[in-house]
Amino acid sequence: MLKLKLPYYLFICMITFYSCEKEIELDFNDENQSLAVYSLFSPNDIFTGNSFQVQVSSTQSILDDSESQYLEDATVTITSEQMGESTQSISERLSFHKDGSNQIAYRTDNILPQDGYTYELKVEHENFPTVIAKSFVPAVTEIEVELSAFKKSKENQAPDFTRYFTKASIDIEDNFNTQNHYHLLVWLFYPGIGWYSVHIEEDVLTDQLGADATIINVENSPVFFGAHFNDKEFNGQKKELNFDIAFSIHEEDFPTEIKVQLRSVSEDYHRYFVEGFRQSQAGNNPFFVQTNNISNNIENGYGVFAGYSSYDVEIPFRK
Amino acid sequence: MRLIITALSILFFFYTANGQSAINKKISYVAEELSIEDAIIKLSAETKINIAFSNSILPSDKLVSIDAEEQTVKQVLKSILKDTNISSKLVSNQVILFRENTSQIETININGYIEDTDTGERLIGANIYNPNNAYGTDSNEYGYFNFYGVPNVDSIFISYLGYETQKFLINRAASQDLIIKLVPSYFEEIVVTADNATEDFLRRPTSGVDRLDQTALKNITGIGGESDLFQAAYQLSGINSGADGIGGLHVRGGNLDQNLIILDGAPIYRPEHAIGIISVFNTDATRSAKVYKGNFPAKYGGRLSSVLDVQTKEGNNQKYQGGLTLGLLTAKASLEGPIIKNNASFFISYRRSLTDLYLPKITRIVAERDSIDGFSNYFFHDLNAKTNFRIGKSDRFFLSYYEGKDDFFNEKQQPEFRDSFPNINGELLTGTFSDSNTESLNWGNKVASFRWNHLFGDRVFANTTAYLSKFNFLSSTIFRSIGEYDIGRNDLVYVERKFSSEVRDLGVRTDLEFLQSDRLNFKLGGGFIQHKLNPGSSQFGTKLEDIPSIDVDSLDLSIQDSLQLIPIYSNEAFAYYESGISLSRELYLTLGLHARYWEYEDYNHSSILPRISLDYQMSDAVSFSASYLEMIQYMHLLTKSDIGLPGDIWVPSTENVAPETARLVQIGTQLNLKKNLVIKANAYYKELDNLIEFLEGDSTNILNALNYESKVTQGKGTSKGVELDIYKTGDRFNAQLNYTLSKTDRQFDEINNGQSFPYRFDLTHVFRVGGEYKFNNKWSANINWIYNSGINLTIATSKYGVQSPFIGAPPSTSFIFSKKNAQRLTPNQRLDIGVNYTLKGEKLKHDLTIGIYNVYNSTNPIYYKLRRDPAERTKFQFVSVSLLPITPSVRYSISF
Repeated sequence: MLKLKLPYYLFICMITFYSCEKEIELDFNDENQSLAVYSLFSPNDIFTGNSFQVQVSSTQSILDDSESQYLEDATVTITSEQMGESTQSISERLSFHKDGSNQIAYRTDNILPQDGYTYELKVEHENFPTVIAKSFVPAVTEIEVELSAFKKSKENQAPDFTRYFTKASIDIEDNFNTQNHYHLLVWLFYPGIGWYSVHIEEDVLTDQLGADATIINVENSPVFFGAHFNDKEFNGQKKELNFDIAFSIHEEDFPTEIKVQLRSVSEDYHRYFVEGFRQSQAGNNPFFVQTNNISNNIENGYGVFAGYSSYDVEIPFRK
Repeated sequence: MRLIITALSILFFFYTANGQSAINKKISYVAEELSIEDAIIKLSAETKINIAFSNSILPSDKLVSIDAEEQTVKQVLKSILKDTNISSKLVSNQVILFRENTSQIETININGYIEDTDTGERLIGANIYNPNNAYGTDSNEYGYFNFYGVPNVDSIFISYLGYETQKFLINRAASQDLIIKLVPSYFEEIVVTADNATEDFLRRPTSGVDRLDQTALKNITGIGGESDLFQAAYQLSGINSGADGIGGLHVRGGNLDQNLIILDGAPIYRPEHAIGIISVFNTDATRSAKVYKGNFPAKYGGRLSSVLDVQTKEGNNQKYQGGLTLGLLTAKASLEGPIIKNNASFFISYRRSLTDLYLPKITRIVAERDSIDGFSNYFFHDLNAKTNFRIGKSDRFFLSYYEGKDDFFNEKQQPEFRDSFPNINGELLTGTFSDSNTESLNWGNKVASFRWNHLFGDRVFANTTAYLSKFNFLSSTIFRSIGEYDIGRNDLVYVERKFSSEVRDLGVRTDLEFLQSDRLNFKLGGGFIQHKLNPGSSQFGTKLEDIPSIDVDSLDLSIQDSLQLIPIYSNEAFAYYESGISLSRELYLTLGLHARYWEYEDYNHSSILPRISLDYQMSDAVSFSASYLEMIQYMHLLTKSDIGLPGDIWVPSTENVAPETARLVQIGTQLNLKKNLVIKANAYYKELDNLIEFLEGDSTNILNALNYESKVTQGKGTSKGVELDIYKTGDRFNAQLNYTLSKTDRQFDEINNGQSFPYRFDLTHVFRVGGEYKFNNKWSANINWIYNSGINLTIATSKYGVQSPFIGAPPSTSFIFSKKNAQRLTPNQRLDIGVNYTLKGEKLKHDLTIGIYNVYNSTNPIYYKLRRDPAERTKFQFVSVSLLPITPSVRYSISF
């Protein structure tokens, strides 16, 4: 997303041409590094399937320009315990997997995320304080999805692209009288490549979901996409959402499926993404914008360990 | 009744010592069987102290005998007046005798206007006082005074800063609608004055109120020679700029938007040019300004922290005058004169920046150093125009107009570069790329006001103001990125974005001043404001891939006229009452109420806010004051940076966003010591509620007034501090010292994990010292030095990476920041010096000011940032960024 930073250009211009910079030593504590973990788990995650996957890295000084260090020699343990039952907990040490250059994670083989259980993550490493995090898989919230017939347009498109439109109507059955958090996503499946997220119409959804909703459409973001909202405006009721889905497809590509996915997420999940999105938008110059830390539920460390469940509605797509 | 004012003018002429020190001087004095009148005249002659009195108040049959040795003049005077009901008071280097109880004496009513004798300009805040007792009044912002219930006297005294104190003989048959003309002093007055000892004679609440005189502004070494109202305000304790002279007014820990800035009765929404270095107030057009950082009169409302009430010049109604000023930063011209002599005049002034003459060339050279083709330009101007005319003795009309505009433009074409990007199949494609940016910013204020002064009889002064105030902001940016791949494919990314914001106020108000007696006055009034907020945004962005041509001009990519301007309206009404009561000669009480009503769609809110102040004049030298007030603010500025950039948006209070409120209590004392030394000390405590901030990190989202509620959070704050101001005035040498010790913090449940944090501009220590020396009628010099604690910043200290679930996508980096505003920047300090030369000819007056801003080139940080270490490119380093280095200051004015 393009940020509105134009008003700062005036300032930046003056800074550029009239300012002077002087190196300074700041006395802040960046030597005691911590572990950072990233793990979203679900009985049917679109990327990780139904196992736990945990990325482990370490924090590094802001002055350090080296690439993030993903740790391969940590001891990662997941312990599961059934909610409300006095059953014995089960633990499993995760094994390290490295698929190609980009998919580095610890995975479970036996313990699989499921509703009704709580999970505790423990990551130990000789160079860092041990971190612990707890989460669970929220109950599934069902949705009904209706898509209108797709329309095509080549207007304002590059010659090889066609834009497709459909009107989506989604009914959310918010059956619980506690505050639930949701993450709504729309995916397009390219055979042989995988799932790609589709932008969601921001203004229309904000109007329907209320002031607390955060619609995240970060172009090219590896992490931030979808609509994050809670049921504050419709707690325990049926909520209907209507919005347009639109995407452009190259003439040589043939996606086969659209997936509308409603994730029921924990508050930790919700806050991590909403606040992470805000931080990604703010940049790292605190003089111009209000910066923020990202909430995390990792004791002694950073990152997120959060479960979710999803209800997926898959609709065939044909160009 | 015959009145004799013993002026002893010859003695007065030679009298140069400070009155306070003179009356405390020990003398020997002998009087044998003298009448009181003769004894006083003898004392005056021997001590060379001017003593003013009416012999009608002296007992004629009483004789006194005194043999005093090594007693002060004051003690001797007390002995002379023993067993009478006569008291004495030191005012403006003379002793005034007055009868303590005047309740049984016949009174008369005197009212009229105080004017400059040369120009006919009405004088604001002139003191009018009765020499026979301790009471008086002052002229209001239209130069009008009403002195009701004056014990039957033949004359009154009028004093005003920068003018000769004048005795005005009263013709009781014509004591109404007077025009009293004051003659300007030969020397200009001091730089910035707190309401001084002379004004304290009136025992009006002065704590937390300061006046910025027009002449004062010329004695501050401004950037590039530009004298500026805000720079003058920064000389006062409790008032600071954001950081090193930029970023607007921050008063007693208040936010930028908590200042009510008024120009000729109309509010101004963005009072700064550029990034807050210069205010929109052209000092050539400014007549006077008053700053209230506490003790707000009941007539003011709608903001929490301060009021800056600026009056522009009315125009000389006697003769034509004009002037030209040329500085390094701006050029100015002004013209004024009578339309109908004595009854109507005009004033017009224009100021433009000179930056556009050299900025494009400089920026192009600097850009070329980085192999970038482009330049930047910036320009601003201000136009002030005013006319006034009288109809009869009871009516006067003013029409004021202000228009200011800022334009910024930046164009940048990056050099071509080679790079590779994956296509959708993950194959890397290599090509040549080039990016270009064009940005423009335009903003400005337009303010028009119409005011009508009317006198109802001899007791009621009324002013009705109708105004329009408008602030516009428009930004536009175009980004083009062209990629020419080696395989023959062309890509174009074209993004155009516009953003617009507008605030418009339509307001009308009436203010009435009633004079019940010399010990009681009251004011009341009310008004209505309609706010129109019109923020909106529009974005057109497209990414075209594999196109046959990259000739951008041939493609239809222009942004549609799709600015989604959806105006919203809110209404605000207010009414107030204020009464000033002299409870005794020592105690003055001001009681006020300000009621305010707000309406936005279905939401409405009302409040009644008390204003109370009590002043106690313990002695001639010592006074105390205490006050309590409450304020409310329904309009809020959502600022991304706290430094007041023009893209910040004004938003209304709504059902979900409560109005901001403040409660302020302050106590103060003023000591008028020997040798014209005045010491003022104030302590204050302010509580702020429902303050508005962006949610952490949420400030970059495009906002409009319809959806802002979800982006903000509300919290509270406190500000407490001690302020010390010391003023030394003299014929040649004036000096001042100000120190503020303060602590300001904020607490929001949704920011900083709910923990309290220091306000960004919480400056613990602010110390200023300044002085002016007049060598002779032509030459003078000034010097100012400031030292203050650094501002607070939140900085990132660590980071960590998160991998993307998508194949081939880069990792995302998350930053770990220090606690909110936990990093305090190093202190600022700066020394400014200037020399002024004035040459007055028969027709022309020349003023030349040469100075140096930031003499020893102190690198005062305005923020810290990360940059790559030039010596070791794989590391980053923190650097402090400072903006205003040593800068020459030159200003030449010629006027006729």
